[in-house]
Amino acid sequence: MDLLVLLTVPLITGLLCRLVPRQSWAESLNAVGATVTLGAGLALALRVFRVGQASAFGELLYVDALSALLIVVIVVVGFLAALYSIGYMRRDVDHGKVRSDQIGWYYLCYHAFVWTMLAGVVVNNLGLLWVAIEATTIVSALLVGFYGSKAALEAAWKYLILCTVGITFALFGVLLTYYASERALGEEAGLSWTALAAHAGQLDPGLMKLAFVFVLIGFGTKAGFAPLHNWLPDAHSQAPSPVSAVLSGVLLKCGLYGVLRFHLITVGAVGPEFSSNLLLGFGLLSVVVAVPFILVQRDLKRLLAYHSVEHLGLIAVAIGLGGPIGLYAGLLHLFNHAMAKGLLFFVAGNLSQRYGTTQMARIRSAIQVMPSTGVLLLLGTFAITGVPPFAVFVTEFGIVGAGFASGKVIVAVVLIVALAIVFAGAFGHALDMAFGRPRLRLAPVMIGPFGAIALAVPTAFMVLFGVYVPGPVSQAVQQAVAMFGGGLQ
Amino acid sequence: MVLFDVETARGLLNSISLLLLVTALGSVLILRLESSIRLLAVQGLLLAAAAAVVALTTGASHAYVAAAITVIVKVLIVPGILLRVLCEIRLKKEVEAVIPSRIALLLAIGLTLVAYYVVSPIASRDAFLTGNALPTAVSLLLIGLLTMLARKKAISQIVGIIAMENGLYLMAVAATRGLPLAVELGVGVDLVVGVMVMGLVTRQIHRTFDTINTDHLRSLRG
Repeated sequence: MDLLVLLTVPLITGLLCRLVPRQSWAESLNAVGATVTLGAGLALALRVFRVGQASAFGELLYVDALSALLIVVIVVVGFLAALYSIGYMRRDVDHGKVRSDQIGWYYLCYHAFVWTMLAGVVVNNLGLLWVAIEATTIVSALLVGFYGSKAALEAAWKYLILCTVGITFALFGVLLTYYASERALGEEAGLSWTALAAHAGQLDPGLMKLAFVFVLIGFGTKAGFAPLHNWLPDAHSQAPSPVSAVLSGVLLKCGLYGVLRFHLITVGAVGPEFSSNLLLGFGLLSVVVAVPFILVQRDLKRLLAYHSVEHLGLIAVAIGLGGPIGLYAGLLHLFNHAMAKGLLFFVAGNLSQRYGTTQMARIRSAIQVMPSTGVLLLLGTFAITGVPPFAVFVTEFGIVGAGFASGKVIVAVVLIVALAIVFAGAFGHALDMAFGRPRLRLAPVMIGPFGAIALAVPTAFMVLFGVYVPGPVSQAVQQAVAMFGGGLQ
Repeated sequence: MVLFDVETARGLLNSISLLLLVTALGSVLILRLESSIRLLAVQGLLLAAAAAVVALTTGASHAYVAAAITVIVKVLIVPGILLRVLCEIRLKKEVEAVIPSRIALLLAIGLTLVAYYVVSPIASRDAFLTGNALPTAVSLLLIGLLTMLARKKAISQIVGIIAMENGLYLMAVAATRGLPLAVELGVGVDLVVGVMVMGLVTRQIHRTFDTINTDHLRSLRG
């Protein structure tokens, strides 16, 4: 039931938003639809964490602890960004950046985008997983190019082309997996994830290695792994800010989710070393590549985009290192990063509308100009760079600790150095924006009640999960960890 | 209904693969956008024929549906959308040669040889895989990629992506008798909607930049 609600409400909401004649009706529909989606998603996740799994249509849809974790990230950030969209898009209409009649189209694309991500994590079929992830690109490209400016169109085009080509390689990997599955298990198994995971040991190891490499390239492009991340800073900076929050906080993780599903099968077929080491390598490269771009960045939203490359890299490193600490920290980091990045993109949205730019050099004295947003900018920067007592610190500490625990001291040292440099760089940018002299008189920007909720909720999670992870949450993450069977160690 | 035995089917798939390889190599020489779009439709028809051969050999009903979907998506809808976009933006200058076409052809032949060299050992392991289908599939994939690197017009890039996808389709038909029907349908829908969105963005780019040469899209850096 909750599963069906989850898969129908976003689509219905989007279509209704497009059909109603008034902007205010579309906004209300959007808020209601996002709330129902949130409720259904959380109910489903709770049920899965309680009983272990949920399925529908004869296992065509299948939700386990890993997909439930992703569902929570999607619906929570999806809900917050939907609320934030209301005030943000209204201000865009007021500023003449968007026409009022485009708002329905925005909400249609937005909810369709959320729907494709949800569909991706609940299908029990690696082929349909591919279809859903490709669909996320197609739908979200419309949102990236939503403003229709030269820069937005350039970003949308690069995003469409690079991700579609990348994901074509993933389809090659899917075909190889299907080939291996048909030879070993017959046509019935098909591309069903449950069947493949149960019989992974019978699959041809050579084929599965090849398949994993192609899937890693393909879905890795969507996850923003370096050196396949070229589209990412463009797309994340040109999209409307609430969409950027979803692209950075959620969509990248759906790409990673695709990689992880194949990782689990590959581990079953060829043992843990092969795919874990690849994840570790790509992850470490992503962290290292992001560092110089964060240091020299001039654009606030591009800065946040490079943070995403860094953090997705961290998660990949955690999964690659494995072990109970690494996996736990890596999977919890999925949520922590989504909260921190959501918060920062909402802050960036407020700042960019107030200052009329995302150029950090022209954003000054935010603390005085917009006190609450300015404070949250500093707080969010503390949070994303892993300063205690915020949540990201705890999971980053766990990931580095897993490096030492597994004897990969070099990995741990590289991470510590990279994180320290990122902290210094990002913090310098944030201080410059928060203090200093304002250069111009600016029209005030009203954040509104929905915007306040969107800022308050992730902040609360950042603080709470920094000092204390509630028992049920940590048990839920442990269930997902158990699926990985301990990883390399 | 089973019309062919495996030997006949293998022969037919071999011939279809060769024809597909010819269209792929030919696509490198063709500079008119309209012709390269029509060539995609020809490739689609050949792929549908390959799916039909599999259907008539195995008698699997989903293979008939797959062949029908292929005709609708790859022969009718996708080329149709692209031709419409082309018609609407009315290009002033047709020819575009970043790499001279003779050199591009040499590169394409080189890629084909690489594909045969690399893939043949894998292909020979399975009975149903034909000698030509899998290497041809990989050649199509690589030549599609070459097209995307060598040509800068937005529509050429879309053509390249579809050519790559055609290669994968041939591989699916030859190696596994086609994908499960639900996946086949999903991939088809993705392709149609994807080409529609790419066409839409192409039109917007044309309106805003007054060109569809993607070399002009390089203001975002760093």
